[in-house]
Amino acid sequence: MSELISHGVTVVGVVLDCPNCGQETRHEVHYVAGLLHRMECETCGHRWDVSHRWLRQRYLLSFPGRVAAKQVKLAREARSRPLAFMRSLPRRTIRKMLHLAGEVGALAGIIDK
Amino acid sequence: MGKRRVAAVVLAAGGGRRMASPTNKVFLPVGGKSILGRTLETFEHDPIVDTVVLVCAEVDRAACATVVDEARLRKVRKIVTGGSSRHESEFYGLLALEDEIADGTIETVLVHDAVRPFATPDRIEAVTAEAQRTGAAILAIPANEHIVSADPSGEVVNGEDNLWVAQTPQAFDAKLVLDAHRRAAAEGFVGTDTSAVVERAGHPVSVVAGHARNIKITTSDDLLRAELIAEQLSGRADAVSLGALTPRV
Repeated sequence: MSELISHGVTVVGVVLDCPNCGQETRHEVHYVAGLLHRMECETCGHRWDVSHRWLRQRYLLSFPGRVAAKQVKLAREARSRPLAFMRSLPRRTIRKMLHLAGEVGALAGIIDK
Repeated sequence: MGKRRVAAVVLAAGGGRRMASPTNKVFLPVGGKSILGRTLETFEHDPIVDTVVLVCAEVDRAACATVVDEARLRKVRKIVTGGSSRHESEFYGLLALEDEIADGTIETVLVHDAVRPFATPDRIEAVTAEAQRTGAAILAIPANEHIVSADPSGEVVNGEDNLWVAQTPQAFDAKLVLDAHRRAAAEGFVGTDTSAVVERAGHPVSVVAGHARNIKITTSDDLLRAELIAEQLSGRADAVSLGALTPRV
């Protein structure tokens, strides 16, 4: 997926029909941890924001599921390529922690605004 | 009689490519999972569907394969490149099943838009059963607004009652739909959807009641609705969801 990731927020460019200007236009869609946060039509500027409360609640509710899915993925990888998995584990652990910190920071930044 | 084998052709070749969109919307996450992944999982978990053909743009082939691999979708047997229109993509999807249709292995084909991730198993079963009875059936819901036709000057020329909004999956006898598409190709006919091709070949198409949840994600509003539906399906929806969306113009 073509995307720009910055400070924990993923921005995806996609074509959608805009209900405001009535055209098929490019939109910027913003996600935090895979959860929809904002959409904006690049032609008319029509914008939707997901409420901060909903975003925060969904993030917290989705977190255990994401951890469980990651465990399954890691276990599968460890079984199929044990050496490569062990070698990459320290680097990936640090990267994942930084990623999570970025997500939490982005969420806090969005909610504080 | 043995089990009638059913194939699903999932169309994911659109995505606003004519505007050089960097991303096909089928890859957008909805409730933390891609639209395409959700759509394919519907058929993966549906016991009446035996095999799935995914039709996508050449540029999206690798990304589609990743979605299939990561979700371990064993029913997706083929990923084929689509055409420049929905009509062409349907045809290429059917051609990928040509041999199995010819030898009778596949008896029924479902054609489905990848941007409809919330098709319900009971409606899939109902439309398939109707197609197995009559040869061709589509899902549709009654139009809840008055729909009119207008001439080029903008003047209303008629307004009709008893209108339905077509959905997918649309289900067909496999040989019937492949023959209809071959005939359309020979005669240069381009249908708006699969049922139009079958109707033009002279076969009536039955309507089966669809489900309001089976939305097609086309507008930004649809994407927001999809988030809410995903939330409801996850069992996590509550009163907070009602105040979830804030428009800012």
